[in-house]
Amino acid sequence: MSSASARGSVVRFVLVRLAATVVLLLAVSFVVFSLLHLTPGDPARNLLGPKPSSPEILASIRAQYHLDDPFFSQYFRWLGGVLHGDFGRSIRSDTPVTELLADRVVVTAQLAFLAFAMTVLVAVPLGIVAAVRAGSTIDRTMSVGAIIGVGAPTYAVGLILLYVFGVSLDLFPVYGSGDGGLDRLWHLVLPAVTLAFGVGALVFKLTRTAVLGELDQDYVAFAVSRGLEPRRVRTMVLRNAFIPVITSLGLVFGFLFGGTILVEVTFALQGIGSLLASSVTFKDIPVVQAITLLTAAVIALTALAVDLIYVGADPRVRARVAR
Amino acid sequence: MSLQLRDLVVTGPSGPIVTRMDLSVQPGQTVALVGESGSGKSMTAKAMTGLLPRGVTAAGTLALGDTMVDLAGGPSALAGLRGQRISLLLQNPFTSLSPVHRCGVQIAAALPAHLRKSAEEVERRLREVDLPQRVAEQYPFELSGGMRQRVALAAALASDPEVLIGDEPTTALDVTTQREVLDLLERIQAERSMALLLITHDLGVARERADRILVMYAGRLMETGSGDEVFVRPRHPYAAGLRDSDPPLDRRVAQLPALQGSVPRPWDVPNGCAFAPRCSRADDRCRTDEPPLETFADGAQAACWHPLGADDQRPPAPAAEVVAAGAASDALVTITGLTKRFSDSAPLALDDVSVMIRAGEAVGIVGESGSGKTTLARCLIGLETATSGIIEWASDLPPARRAQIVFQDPTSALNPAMSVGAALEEALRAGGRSRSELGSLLELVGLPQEYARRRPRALSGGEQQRVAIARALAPQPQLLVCDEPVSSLDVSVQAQILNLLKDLLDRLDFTLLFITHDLAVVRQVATRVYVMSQGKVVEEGATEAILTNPQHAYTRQLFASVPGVRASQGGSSDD
Repeated sequence: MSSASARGSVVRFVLVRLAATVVLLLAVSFVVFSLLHLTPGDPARNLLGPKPSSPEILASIRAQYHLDDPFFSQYFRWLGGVLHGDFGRSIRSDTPVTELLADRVVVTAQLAFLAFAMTVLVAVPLGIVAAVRAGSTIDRTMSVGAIIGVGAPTYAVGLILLYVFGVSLDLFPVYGSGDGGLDRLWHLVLPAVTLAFGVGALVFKLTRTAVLGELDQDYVAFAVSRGLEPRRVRTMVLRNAFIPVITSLGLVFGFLFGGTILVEVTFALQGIGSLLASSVTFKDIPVVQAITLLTAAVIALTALAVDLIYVGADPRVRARVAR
Repeated sequence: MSLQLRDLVVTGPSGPIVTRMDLSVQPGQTVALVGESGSGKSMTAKAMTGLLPRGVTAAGTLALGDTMVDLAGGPSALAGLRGQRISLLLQNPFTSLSPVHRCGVQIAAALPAHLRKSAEEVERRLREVDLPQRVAEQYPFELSGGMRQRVALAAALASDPEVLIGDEPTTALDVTTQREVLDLLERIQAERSMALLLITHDLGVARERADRILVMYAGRLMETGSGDEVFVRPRHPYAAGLRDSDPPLDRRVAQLPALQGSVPRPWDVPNGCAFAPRCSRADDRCRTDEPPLETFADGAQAACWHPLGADDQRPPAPAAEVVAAGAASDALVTITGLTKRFSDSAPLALDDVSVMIRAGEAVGIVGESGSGKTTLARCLIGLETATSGIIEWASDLPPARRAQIVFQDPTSALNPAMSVGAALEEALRAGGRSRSELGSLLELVGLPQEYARRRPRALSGGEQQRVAIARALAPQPQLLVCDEPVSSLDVSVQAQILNLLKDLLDRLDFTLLFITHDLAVVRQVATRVYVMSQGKVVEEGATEAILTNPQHAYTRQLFASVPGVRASQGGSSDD
């Protein structure tokens, strides 16, 4: 096969994968929209919330939300709004959902990125060290730590960190999201450590297993026997181990973004996790819809990115795709 | 510069793996290290390159020219020699190259520093192993096994070593490819006047390629000498037994003179001579004192208290009377125009294959990897569905009674969680037989009754294959399909299993379809043979006729590629 047509096949693969992501998100949006009608009770009453109701008010809500239209036309009307960034108004605060989310998304995204960066910068290198020194005291100590990390509940880790670094040592703030910039970062350190702790332990174990598996391969023995410098052998091993590790990192990012609730509540952060928790309690359906769809979109796009990196990183997968 | 290994001892967590090992290789010389699995031959190679696994240590000295290395110093002690002066070529070309790096990069990595960036140098190295320039830009998975092993060879030679150690370098390859790679190795060795230590289980390869042969058993050197000394006039009963176990290509023998038992595991090696429990000449002294390696007048060496003299040499087993193909009986199964396509882009796995098997026959199917022989077996047994074509059985018995299969690797073919007895009882039930027949079933394949309680893991490879055969025979199938049943076994165990199959054919009433890549093996078992290549049957007929006088070009090529053919058929006088 010529390389031009192989490149064409890869482009086709990317387009197909993109289309699949769009279809997936449409399906999710459909389910998310159905939430309104699946929630027990009259949709109009749900949308009204705890405000006093009268037949006139309910009728005006029906008119405002087109609740008497056929289901699908309601869906497409809603979807059209969503595509223009309009998720409707929050029932609780009566402000546009988009406005409500704007600040909070930033906090959660910053938290997730910070935790992700910590995971990548700490757990991956430690996993490599543990694999290279498998069986040593360092390896065993870290592996025990990882078991604790995987097992420890987030809220417990958060409270301990709060107590030790926030209260006893008074090194970090214990409350809120800060005033932006460096102060924001300052406020997010402890929550991010909390979030990264369990996930990092998992990534550490996966990295260790991946590198250890590669170190056992014949090509490593062959490289050593040919007298390649240790640095070159290491590069070769890491390039191979990168493939399984990148997959796990992709899953981790999706998880971090969608899994901030406990941490946000523990540290009183104004992110979308805590907003989701209170909105569910309050049956604030438009907000729940927006957050759910947003989280799903982040996870789907991460999965897409992982797939594309995978194609770039593994020539065998590339060849299969090109076929 | 000559390579000298002295007093090598390799010790693992459960005891010594290699003891008393000396060897030397001169520039331009090929020395073969021969042994069955567990003989310690691979560990010797690993010790010489500092690649021993964790928990395994070496002692002894390695001298290359003026450089002396104390092997007790661990891997770092060899750092100066490794690659630059001694290089290692591994068995499996599918795993010995990094899957995500281009071949050119992998070759260049070990080039002398000033040449590492030179594309011309990589091209020159590829040319040396008869590969085109484009291979530099390809990934290993895009190449065939033989081409990958050439890339690996070029990579191993990149640093221009004085000594090359090949650890079963052609074992994973087809026989025709094996010949090409061995020829290439021989040519390059001569051009570079390099010392070559060839580690192999294949006696034919050793005899055909080596100037000197070292026979190892249970971590010890048992015999050394030239090919003729070791294989024509062996001193050690083990070397003689190994030679006799190897099935001859030029004739069918009634029974292979097999060694009993199997190679002991490192922690089970007895006191005295390690081979004593399997030796017919052993006496009390053999069981208490370990014999030293003695040198004979002709330069050969053997570690034996009772070496075989000229009068003790057993004549080669005579050719058995040729059993006529059972032309009289009716067809048991008729395969007509069978075609199998796995995917649109792949070539046909089976291409219009027609095979007829008569009741009571032993039919062989011979072919290399990719010939379609295994796909044919799987279609016959119902594990694959053919794309088109007809499989017509003469009987309307249930499938379990019609055909059963024995696979190549008994370790993965047996359920590790199931005891031998449970596995066999399940198979007996499938044939509607009573579990009380378990004892006689074990006895049939030569296993003691108490094996019923054991798990497969506690059995040796040969014993596991006996269980697999018993399991396949339990429902009393009309046809027993054996797909490479002996190719993962040691030579001495292979002979035992072949003898068992022949014995079962005499005692029981079943038909055998025997699939193999090995012409010598098929000659011992089958009365009629089909030769397959690239999904097609290219030749068929009586085994004796085809193996005595092959007609098709492919069969001839296959025949000429068998290692040892030159040595054993050409004779030593007119070579």
